[in-house]
Amino acid sequence: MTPPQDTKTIAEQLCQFARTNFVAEGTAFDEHSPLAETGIDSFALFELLLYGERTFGVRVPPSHLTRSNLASVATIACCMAELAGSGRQSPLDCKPGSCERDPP
Amino acid sequence: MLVVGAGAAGVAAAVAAGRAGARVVLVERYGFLGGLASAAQVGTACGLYLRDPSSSTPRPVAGGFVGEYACRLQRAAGAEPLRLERGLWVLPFPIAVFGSVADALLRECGNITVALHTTVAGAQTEGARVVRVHALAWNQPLSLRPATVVDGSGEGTVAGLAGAAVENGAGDQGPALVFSLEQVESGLTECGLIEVRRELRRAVENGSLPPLCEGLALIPGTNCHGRMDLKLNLPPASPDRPLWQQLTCWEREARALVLRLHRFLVENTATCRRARLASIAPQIGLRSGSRIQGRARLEEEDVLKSRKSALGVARGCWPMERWGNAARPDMAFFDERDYYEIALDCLRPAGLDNLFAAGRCFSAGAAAMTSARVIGTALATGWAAGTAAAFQALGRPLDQALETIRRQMNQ
Repeated sequence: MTPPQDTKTIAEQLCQFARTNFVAEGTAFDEHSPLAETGIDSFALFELLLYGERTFGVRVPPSHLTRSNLASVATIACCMAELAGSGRQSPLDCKPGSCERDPP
Repeated sequence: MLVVGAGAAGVAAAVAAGRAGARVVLVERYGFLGGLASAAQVGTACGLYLRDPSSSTPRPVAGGFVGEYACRLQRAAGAEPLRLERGLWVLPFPIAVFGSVADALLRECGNITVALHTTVAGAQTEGARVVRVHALAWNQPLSLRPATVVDGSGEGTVAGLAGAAVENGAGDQGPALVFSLEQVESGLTECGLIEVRRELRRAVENGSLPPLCEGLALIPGTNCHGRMDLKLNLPPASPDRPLWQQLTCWEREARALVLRLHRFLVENTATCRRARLASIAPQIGLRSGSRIQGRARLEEEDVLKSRKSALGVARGCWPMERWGNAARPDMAFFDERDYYEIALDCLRPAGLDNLFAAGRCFSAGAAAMTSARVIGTALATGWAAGTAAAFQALGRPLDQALETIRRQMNQ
């Protein structure tokens, strides 16, 4: 497990993982690309999330597994950084507390 | 004429023949219509619409009966086509509706006799013709003397019994067992399934559940009102084992595993903490079976290059989707907004003149059938086989049948 990292680092590593494993060659893809429109199905999304959890030592609770939090690599990275307590270092458009959660 | 099997292909064949003016007997081994769409609780119809990532409305792959069935199913189900990733469209439907639409279409013809609980057990030939088919109708022997036969059994059963060459494709793809959960936490979407998958991965890694459990997938469009249908994907059949033994093993082991899975999900996920196991499909959903060896054969390249044929009688538009040992299928796509055609000779076994195969048992390579096995294409090949068989039974040339089918496809 690595120590908490900033949102940009998390996003870069998630992007790299997605590009290597799921995104078709030649497809434009960055941290803001809507995942649903870049060939990332629910299996791939799960693998991406699990990779992030294991790499950055966070666990995204069920209440945070919402459509908006899983919309793009950037939103996942924001959520993970916030859970790891490092969201404020983010150079992405990621405001502290922006990670959505379902009402209890 | 005789149609064997009342799945999508058999129903389409019977209606085509009925509307062409033939007197039809449709035999079905279960007590309901719809074949695996009903028995295996398939839940979504694929192969009805062209793949199109740029459009927000689905475009039917063909006119004629495929479009008609899709419209009636949509109306009866009160469902809308659903767009999935890569521009694929499916039509979700409640299980009971598929059979009721089929029943209504068969009744409207007026010249179709349906025999449920009827299993074909033998076929006699004279020269290159099937002249007699033996069946067991519930507990009584039934002997039929059809002029022509459509084999929509999904396994090439009549063709095989009549001595035609049949290719065993049971090991080409793994089957799936569908089950339904109710009282799933409201608001569950694919996101809820991620929690489920994460817990399953942990359980598989720590050895508390077998690896097979990672092959759990949500059936698109079924997750609403606290209910969702899930399919447990199973490994392909072993070529060293008789299929009946393999099927028995799958049915028993997969059902026991579903009960275990349900308990696990209730105990380990927030999404399913109150979930009730509402049903398990009456039959495992086989994705591949035996196929005839035809006068022509649909090959992988025909699919991937969207090939058209002057003898084309059915259109396929679903990508090649192979379910092997992995938790997700291998997908191979052809061009967007395009389709391939299946030639009439793919439905005609070499060596039999009055039998046509439709649905998953027409002549195709293993890879090509991973695309052509879906409901939309089964309806199309069924319609073509039924029309051709009816024309032949009524003494009309097959060229006329070909012309009629092609005109209807373009409507």
